Amino acid sequence: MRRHVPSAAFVVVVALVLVSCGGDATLPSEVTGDVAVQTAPPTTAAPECTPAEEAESAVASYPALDPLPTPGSMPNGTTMAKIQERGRLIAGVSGDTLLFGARNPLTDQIEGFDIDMITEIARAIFGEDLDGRIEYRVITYADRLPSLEAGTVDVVAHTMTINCRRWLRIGFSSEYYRAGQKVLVKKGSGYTDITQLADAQGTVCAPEGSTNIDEVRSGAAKYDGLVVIGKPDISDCLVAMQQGEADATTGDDTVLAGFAAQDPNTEVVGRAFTDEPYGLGFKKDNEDLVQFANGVIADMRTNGRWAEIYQTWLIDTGALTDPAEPPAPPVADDSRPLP
Amino acid sequence: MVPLTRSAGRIAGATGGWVRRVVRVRSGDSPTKLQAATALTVLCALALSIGGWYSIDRRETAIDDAAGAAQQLIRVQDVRVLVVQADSIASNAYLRGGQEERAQREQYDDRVATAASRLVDVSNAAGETDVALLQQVSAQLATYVGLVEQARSNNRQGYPVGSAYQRQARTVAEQVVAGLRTVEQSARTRVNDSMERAHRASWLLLLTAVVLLLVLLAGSLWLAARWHRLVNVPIAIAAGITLLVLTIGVGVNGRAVSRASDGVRGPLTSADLIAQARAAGFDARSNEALTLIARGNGAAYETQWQASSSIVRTALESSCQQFDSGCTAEARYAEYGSTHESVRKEDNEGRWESAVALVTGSDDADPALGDPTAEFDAFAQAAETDLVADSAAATSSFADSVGQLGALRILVVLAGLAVAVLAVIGYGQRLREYR
Repeated sequence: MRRHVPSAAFVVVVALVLVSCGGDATLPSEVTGDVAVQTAPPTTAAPECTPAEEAESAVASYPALDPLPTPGSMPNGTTMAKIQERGRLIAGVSGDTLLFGARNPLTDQIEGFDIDMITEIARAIFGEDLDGRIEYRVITYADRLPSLEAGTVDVVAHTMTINCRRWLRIGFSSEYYRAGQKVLVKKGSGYTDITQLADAQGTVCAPEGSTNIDEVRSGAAKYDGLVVIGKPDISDCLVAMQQGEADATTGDDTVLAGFAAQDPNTEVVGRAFTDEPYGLGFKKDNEDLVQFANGVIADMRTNGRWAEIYQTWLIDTGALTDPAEPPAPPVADDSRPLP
Repeated sequence: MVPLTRSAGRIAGATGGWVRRVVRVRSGDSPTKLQAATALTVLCALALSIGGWYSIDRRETAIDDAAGAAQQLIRVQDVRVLVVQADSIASNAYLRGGQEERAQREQYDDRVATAASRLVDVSNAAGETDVALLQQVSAQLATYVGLVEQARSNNRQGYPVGSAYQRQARTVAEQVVAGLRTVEQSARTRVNDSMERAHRASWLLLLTAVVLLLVLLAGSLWLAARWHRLVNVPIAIAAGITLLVLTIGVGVNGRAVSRASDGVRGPLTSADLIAQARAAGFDARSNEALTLIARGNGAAYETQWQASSSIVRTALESSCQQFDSGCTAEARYAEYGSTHESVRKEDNEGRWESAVALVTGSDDADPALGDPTAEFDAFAQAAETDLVADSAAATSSFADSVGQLGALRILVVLAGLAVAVLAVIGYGQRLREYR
């Protein structure tokens, strides 16, 4: 019997330990869903123009369509006919560039110079009743070209400068507005132009993907000393200034005028140091739509509509004081698109 | 034999002393053996008192730690829900521009103020690493409030720069949420570590009780064989007390850890799942508004809506299937998700104003398309009801589990002392026969 005592005791101990310890109890880790948030694919380097291509006039677009087809009766097989069939024109615009493309929170409508340009294109396709005929997609500066390349929008009206490098990726209408790059500073900062800001090693903000940031990053001697910070959108630059992250914002004078209107502690200073010819952007393959838009813009130059839009958004708002003529009609260039 | 060194000689002498004593006991006379048996039993009984007390105390502390960490988890999740809820209200209010409703504004103010105040409670109960992170979260929350205010005031004046502030506020809100999720994970790890400690804590009580029982049984057998007595009453009573302590100790200890484990595996896991679902739900609702604020360029926000909704579905499905809790919330979210599809359809087909009217619940909304605001509120309410019930059940499990450990601790100490006294009496009866 004595020999059984240790083994019985061992069995009892093991049983007691098991009873006392109980089962495992752990909280599971954080729940992860079965839909992963995709990160943006790496962007490929933008194509560069050859010296010969650079020498050509960037503002020369395809010949204007003349006469324009009757609104509501777009010729079969054209891009305009597809838009008419769809029932709405899809336009990529800015939602926060006051005077050119900005949402009015009181009316919930997007309005501005660029928006009126889109309205004219839509009117030429659909006629006078434009209710529900335009779908606005608010896009950032950096999304302007990719949106057209991906075909998610028919047209981009987004204070977009026509230049050679962009012509390699998209098509442009003829020039509809001539802006220039300037600098916005805090009132009383003492800065009077971009050169002075560079000498003082000031920080300047510009939107990524814009010609404005390309200019100040070009390596030109006059910008030596400038500290350049890029933001997704130009309105982020005004925030950066208001938060003390940047001393100045550089952009087109028209856009900066809208900023000065939003923040009375800022002012636009100096002369324009670049030319920024604005054009409507289209998918590279849609030459017929570019020609159509050029026809609409040509009509606007002559029938007074362009002057009305200019008056409404740039004179009546106090952004500019001098009346202007529409940019000169472009040289028709059959060689587009660039190779 | 000559010792090699003096210290080696001392060691040899000490070892020799022990050996001599053991040899004397084994081969010695009965009184010496009785004295040795008394000493061994008293030592084992005192070991039961001290080891048992220590063992039970460790288990009680571990379960208390697990309960504290569970409370912390529930508190942090509550703050996370308040933050995402505030952000969701702010995003929706931005869509309404200057027509922001007063009730909506008050709701936002309330959520932010409550989050800030509860963050203080969370910090007070946090470990050193989490405190630093929570200080950062608290500062970010203040920044977030400032940015929303800037967005709101610009928006009301018709300044488009407000949208840039709203985007920035959203980025900061995401940082706040990420910080809180880290603290949540830290609380989960603390619950699991504490429960593991609680499981391990009973071995010393068991070991000392079993050793004491074996010593008492061996002593009884020896006394019976050597003195031809059937039973030594005090030693038998001591063995009975030890067996009783062992049985009660195992029962109460096992019940304590089992009750706490049930609390973790059941209502706490369910509360954790529902709280995550609730937070993800509000995040989805916020992304729904942001998709519309981005107006046609909100694909990234819609993808985030899908990701958050997937978390809601996974968490609630799990909670409903395993614990029969969160089932109503799951059904309500499915209804909201279905109406969200209508919102996306309206926006994707160019009827942005109609989509906004649906999301903001304005009078212009088409009632045939559903009411995402009411449906989402129903989900949030159902989730909150189940969350409160599960949290209370989890808290009750922990409180219940440690309730009897205090009494057990005293019982074990007294039992050890009683066994020691009985051993002295029991062996003393035989020892007196030699005087």
